[in-house]
Amino acid sequence: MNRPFTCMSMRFGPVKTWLTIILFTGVISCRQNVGNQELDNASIKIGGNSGIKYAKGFNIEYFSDHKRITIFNPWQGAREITITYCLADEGTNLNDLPEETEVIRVPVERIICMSTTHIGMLDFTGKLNTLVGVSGSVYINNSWVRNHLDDNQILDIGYDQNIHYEKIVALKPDLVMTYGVGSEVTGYINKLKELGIPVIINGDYLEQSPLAKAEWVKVVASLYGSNELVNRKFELLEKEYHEVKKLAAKATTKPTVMIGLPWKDAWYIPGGNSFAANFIRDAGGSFIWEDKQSVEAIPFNIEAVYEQARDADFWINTGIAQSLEDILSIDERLIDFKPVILGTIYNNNNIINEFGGNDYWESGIMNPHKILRDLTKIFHPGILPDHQLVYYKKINSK
Amino acid sequence: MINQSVDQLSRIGYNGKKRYILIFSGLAVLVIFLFLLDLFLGSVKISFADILRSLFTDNGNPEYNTIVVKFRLPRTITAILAGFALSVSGLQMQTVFRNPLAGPFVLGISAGASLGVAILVMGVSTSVVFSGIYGLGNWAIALAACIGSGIILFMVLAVSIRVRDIMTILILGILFGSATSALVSILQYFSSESMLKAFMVWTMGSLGSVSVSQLHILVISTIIGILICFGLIKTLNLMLIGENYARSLGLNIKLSRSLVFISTSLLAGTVTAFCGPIAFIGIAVPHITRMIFRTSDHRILVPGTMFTGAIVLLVSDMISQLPGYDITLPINSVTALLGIPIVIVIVIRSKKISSFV
Repeated sequence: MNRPFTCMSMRFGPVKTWLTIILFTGVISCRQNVGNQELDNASIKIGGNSGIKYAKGFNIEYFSDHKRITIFNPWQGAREITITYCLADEGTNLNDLPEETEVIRVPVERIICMSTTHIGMLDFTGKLNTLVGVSGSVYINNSWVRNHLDDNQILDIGYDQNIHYEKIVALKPDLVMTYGVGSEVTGYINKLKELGIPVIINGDYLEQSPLAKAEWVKVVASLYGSNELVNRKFELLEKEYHEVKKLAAKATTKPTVMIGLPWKDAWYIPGGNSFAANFIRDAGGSFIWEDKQSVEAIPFNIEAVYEQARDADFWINTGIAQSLEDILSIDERLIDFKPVILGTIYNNNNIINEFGGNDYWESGIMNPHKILRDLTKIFHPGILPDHQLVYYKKINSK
Repeated sequence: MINQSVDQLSRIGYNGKKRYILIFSGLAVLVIFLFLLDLFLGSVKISFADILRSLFTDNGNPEYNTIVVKFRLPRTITAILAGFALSVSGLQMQTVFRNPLAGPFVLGISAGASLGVAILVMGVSTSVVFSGIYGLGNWAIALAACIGSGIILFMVLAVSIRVRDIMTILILGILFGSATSALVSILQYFSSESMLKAFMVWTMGSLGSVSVSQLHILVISTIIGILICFGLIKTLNLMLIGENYARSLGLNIKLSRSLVFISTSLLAGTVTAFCGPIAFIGIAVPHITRMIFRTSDHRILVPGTMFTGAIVLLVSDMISQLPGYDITLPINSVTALLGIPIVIVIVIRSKKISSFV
């Protein structure tokens, strides 16, 4: 599936919950707290902490003959669920693993990615050439992947409930990288395991800090033994991000920022700790709903949003709106918000393909520093005067 | 025997005329009171004086003016109109089908509207014609819902002209509805999560997203629909005693039926187009009205259901707004939670009810 949605300001609360409750009640019973028992002397732990600085959802441990990735609560609403993956070369004898550890043979040579963000990470790692299957191919922006889709060298294996298991089997993947919107994901993961295909869950979309989200690339790197290279690249990215953040913090003004679009009379506003809120804060903006201590989007009453946000200085992330007319067609009352009059509406859909697939959720995941530059430039035009917007664009009247 | 029951019917209206006047004035006062209360309650605290100032003068606080005039007033008027429309169409359906559990949507109107909206909202994600946001505009949704319910109405009308037995039409209506829902399920199955969510939110109903220009259309179609219904009051009373009897009394059943269907579709269809499918009002309110007035005479019931419907929907709207909070509940959940206990009572006491209808 196209990842945009799960990460978008409009979260998928109700349906997710329904799916979770109705379809797979009680499926989550497996893999509770495997723990990190030491292996016997055949395999010695050589690095306690992998230097994961931002991400909360995973940990990498280095052993003499394998790497161990532990993933915590890999879907929304997961509690106390830990999945441990053991990454080892083909020949390594792995008889002494703790129970319930899943073995992935590395380096991976044929991978299927279920989200566009995984493609961004694969690209960052320099391993797009191992990609054999994708989900929701129409939403992909990466031109290399698109060309190979056209040549049938990469196949679309369907999305969500419409996954073609037979196609997956036929592709003979070493690994399927997926994500879980809810515990229902265990259903199809078990199905794939039955078919003998290893699956790894990438929990990047649950991370709320831009750097934490990007840091999941280290999991991808581990699959290829490219940790050193990727760690170096990540450090550069991190450094740039912090530099921009410092510049933005020096700004004398702190413009107020509103976000999203209403849908009927509900306006889903991401919480003050969400991905979008973190970007706004780091870019020297003041998120209007900063004090809402949640991550999940809350359905605000449109009247309440009007009262709280009508005098906002900026309005960002307006869904798939391309023009002011698009925004007003949703609700003509939106004309009463100040950013409409000031002309300070910016949307993160500067790079989209003809089906609406947004590169913000693809390459953008691995370019948080560029997104931050965009937002800093928007909020404080004086800083970064030479920067050209990459992922954001100004929403104008047609 | 027939004459007896017709006699009975015509007599009911005049017995206890005073009591009816009393009830009607009570309901009217309640509607006005709730109308003002609904304007007063909302996420933002505004004093009653400020509300009146915003409503009747130009020199109030501009922020309050916008909230009252652009947000609350259209929403409250929509609640009243939807209350009128859904309950009157529910009453008509219960009478025509002589079934206490019939409602405005038995003809498949909401299912048709859902299909229209589903194709628009979820079809866009899979189709090649992604070109901007046109799929999500407020008008586009209303139009899609109208086309969807219009097609279903056309099919029901086409059948009803050929078919004599009213129960056949009821069953066909339900079948059309189920078939449409099946198509919607297929679309849901294939759509992406964001589109699915957009559709789900539509099905939960909303009174607050009707714009002022859409309100004009809602007013006009509600007035026309209700005028047709007023014109049909005598016909509806005759239908109560059964189509065969009514026919023997010289009623053109097929014409009357078609008019009732047109009125119902106009009322329920427009409300569904702008507010989404609002459940249970149409089924529950006619029964509440019958309990209040203790009559089955449509001269009393039609205006009676209008008032009661407006009251129930205004109350539902107030609950769904959760006054004082920033968040809002979907209106459909509130009407269902209010309506379900009533429907349960109806089912339990159905013997009594079926003698009513």
